[in-house]
Amino acid sequence: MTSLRIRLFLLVAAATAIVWALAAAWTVLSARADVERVLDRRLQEAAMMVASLGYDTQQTSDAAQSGAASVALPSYDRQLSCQIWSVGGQLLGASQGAPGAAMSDGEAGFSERMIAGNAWRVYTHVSPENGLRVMVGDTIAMRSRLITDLMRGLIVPATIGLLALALLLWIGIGQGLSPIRRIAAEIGDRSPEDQSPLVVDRVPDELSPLTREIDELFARIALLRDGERRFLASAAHEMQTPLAGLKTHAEIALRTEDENARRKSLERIRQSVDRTTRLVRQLLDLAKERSARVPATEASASLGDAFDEVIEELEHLVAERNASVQISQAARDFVAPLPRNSLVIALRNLIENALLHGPANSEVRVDSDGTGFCVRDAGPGLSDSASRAMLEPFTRDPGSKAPGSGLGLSIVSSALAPAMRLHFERIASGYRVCVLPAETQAPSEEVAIDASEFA
Amino acid sequence: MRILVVEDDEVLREGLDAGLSLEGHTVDLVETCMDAREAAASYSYDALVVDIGLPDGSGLDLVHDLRLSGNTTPILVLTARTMAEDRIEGLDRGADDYLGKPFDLGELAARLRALVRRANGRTEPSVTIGPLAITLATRQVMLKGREIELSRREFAVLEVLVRHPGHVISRSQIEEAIYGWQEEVGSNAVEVHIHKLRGKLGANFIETVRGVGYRVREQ
Repeated sequence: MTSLRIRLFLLVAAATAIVWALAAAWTVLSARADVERVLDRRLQEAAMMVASLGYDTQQTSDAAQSGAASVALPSYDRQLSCQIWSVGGQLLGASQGAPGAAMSDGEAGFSERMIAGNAWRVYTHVSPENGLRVMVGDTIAMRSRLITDLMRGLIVPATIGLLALALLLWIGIGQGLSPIRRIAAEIGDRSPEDQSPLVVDRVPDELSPLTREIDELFARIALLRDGERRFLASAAHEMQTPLAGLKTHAEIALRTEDENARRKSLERIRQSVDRTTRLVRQLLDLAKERSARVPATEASASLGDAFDEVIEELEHLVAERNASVQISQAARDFVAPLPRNSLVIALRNLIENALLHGPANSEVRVDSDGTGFCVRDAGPGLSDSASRAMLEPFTRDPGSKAPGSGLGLSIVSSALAPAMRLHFERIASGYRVCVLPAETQAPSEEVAIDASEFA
Repeated sequence: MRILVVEDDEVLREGLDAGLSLEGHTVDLVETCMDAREAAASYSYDALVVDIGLPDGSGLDLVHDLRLSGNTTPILVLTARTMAEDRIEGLDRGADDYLGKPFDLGELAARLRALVRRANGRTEPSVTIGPLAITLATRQVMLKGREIELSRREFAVLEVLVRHPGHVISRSQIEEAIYGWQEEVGSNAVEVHIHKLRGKLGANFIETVRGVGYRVREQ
């Protein structure tokens, strides 16, 4: 059921109907008992009244025989029937409409009996001083009719009352829910760009946690969008600078008559194309990592396989830097809790950084202590503040002369989240960047592995 | 013209150097705001080309600081950010012109010429002194309707002199305007260029003010 109003209405209406029905049942039962009691009392009083009339047994007996008894008896109530018997068992008189047979077995008090297919309720009064036995009764059918009429009289106003109550409930619930409609209208009317807090009049206390949460969500979205805007501006800057370099050198190569200058410009164009290619690949990596950031709990990938793939890709750079890249057996056997693509992206950026920022002709090593892995180079590494800052996109180490977009580490950080994280450390032989499980402390120096272990 | 380029990207920096040199300008290169402040305080430049994103701060802050310190050299800001707000901020903080990356070298050179021309109180793109007409954009020199061929240095010396006709320009001022930091300057280099110019333009066009410098007469 989607409408809160209908849901609330049905809930309240059902509860009301149940209470109403119970009250009605109670009313019917107690009314029936009251009516029975009143009618019984009437039978009793009528019987006693007839007995007190001082009826002459002999005269009445004659009259009864002559058929005049019915005339002599006062017409008390058409609903009531009366028989007057002598104590000896002779019918002395009967009211009009009274049954021919005896209405009771003659025992004093109330009794019920079937006479000619009708059920009767009878009160028998025995008056020994008069020698009379007076039986006054009414039919059960008459009693039921009376009670039914009474109930019918109650049902009409109750039904009208119920309908009026339903209408009032419907209107009242609608009014009660109006703050939700106002909040919905406020949210529905805003543009996708609008992340300002909600402006809704008279928000009830129960709804203020909701509006507060919505406002906080808007604030988080605004922050995210701001970050994206800054990222795009930085990405544009990073793309346009090498493009400007390319264009400038192309113009120089076209215009200069100096063969040396032309060759130098063409060489610069080649470098610039390499750098732009790397930047585009990194931007694509980052976009891929950010869009696919789902908890990959089942993911696992072999560091050895990722290493082989990365080394194949970086062959050119390794040769250019005249470096060697080694991996220990422990690292080769390490299985990272990451999707394979993410592991490749992270490892490629870390090795690329080590090659670009470490000294030429040096060695880059990948090793593992079984919980994570580290990439070490012989370079100066990053300062503490720089390593923190560089997790943000487009932040470059101001102390470094090596080319770079400032994207690498933020890509690595995105690729590792949430299972793993980066840790930077200056060590005796240079610098190392470690990838550790998200919840662990920094590794100890023991991770340093004997060179003989390297494959 | 002597131009200071403040750009941290190595490829672009070298491109600006080679490109502006091709246009006949003398170019000094720096990578950081700090070096730029020092250079601008030590030498007299005709124009500055400043990138916004620099390793030790924003180029716009550099421009603002230079203006606060009283430097009035025309400044052209280079940036990848081409949003209107960025342009407005750049100009409001003291830049004279704005060029988005990637740009055309020819346009950059033309904008720099226009900036320097305006800074020197001229609006004409060419200078005419007596029978001599100099078009700065094309570096064309006409004497009595005949085109005169000048070397890059000779033109640079002539440009310094004709930009301030009637004023005496010292030898060191000329040297500073036509040589960058890295260039070796021979002790009599300026004299040699003046001598060659006199040979091409006539002996009386450039006057020597003994012990002070050189002057082009307003005619």
